[in-house]
Amino acid sequence: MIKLFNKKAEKLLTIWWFGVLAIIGAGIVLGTMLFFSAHIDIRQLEAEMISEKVADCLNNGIEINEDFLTLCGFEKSLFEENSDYFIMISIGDETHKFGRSSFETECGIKKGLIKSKYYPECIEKTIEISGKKIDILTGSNYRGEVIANG
Amino acid sequence: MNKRGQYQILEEVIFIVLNIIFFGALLIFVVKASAGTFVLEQFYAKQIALMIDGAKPGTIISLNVDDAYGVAKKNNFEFTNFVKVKDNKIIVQLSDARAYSYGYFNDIKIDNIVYSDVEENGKISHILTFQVEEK
Repeated sequence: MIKLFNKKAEKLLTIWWFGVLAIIGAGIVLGTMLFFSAHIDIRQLEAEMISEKVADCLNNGIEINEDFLTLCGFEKSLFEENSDYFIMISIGDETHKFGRSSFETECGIKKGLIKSKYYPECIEKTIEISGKKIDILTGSNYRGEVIANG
Repeated sequence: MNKRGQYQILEEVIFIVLNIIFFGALLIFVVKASAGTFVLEQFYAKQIALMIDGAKPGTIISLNVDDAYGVAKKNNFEFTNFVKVKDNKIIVQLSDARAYSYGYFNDIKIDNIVYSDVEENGKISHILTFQVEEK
């Protein structure tokens, strides 16, 4: 095809041009596939919602005991040690934990410079009820799942 | 115009046309990928789960699912029950190949999942409605 054209003129349709197009195309296709096959991350939103819900419960005077999660309207089975959620409520020296306790350390690590997508997304909040300062730390590392063949 | 000039113009025209075709094809690919089955299954499962997590018992939620309808139709998938609820999980399926499941932490029950076609200003919208109830 190139031979058809005037050799003295500037050649546009060269093998290099097709090579550049192939590289650009492959890059965009690969990038798009990687981007859209990645998970839509709502862990931060979940941690925020858990935090809000806990704060509402404490504001409504619900006592922190074994039934706290149920009374707050959480599905209790999702806040066991091997779960993907975590709640820590600190009132003075008193600390109450629900869910996967390793998230406490992982949230602390993530607060620093280390960024890891495998660590949970966490929210820290401080509220005051009747003059008492209450720290709430919540975390979520739930990612959903793909079910083959429905 | 001499033959040399004609060839030069022809080459430039072919060059521009090929560029337009190439970048147009890339654009179509990116747009199609952004509205793909997997992306939409994830999107709806997570959106519904977040809505449920933020809802109080007695809430009725309506969601426009036009995008999901389009993808399910393209995949020849029965659309009417594309959302299922099982063990505190929302399961969204838009093709026969697979589904996407996402859990909600709110201790409530989902009832009356109804899919309906609603006509508004001559345009049909596909609406999913469900009710959040106490367990």
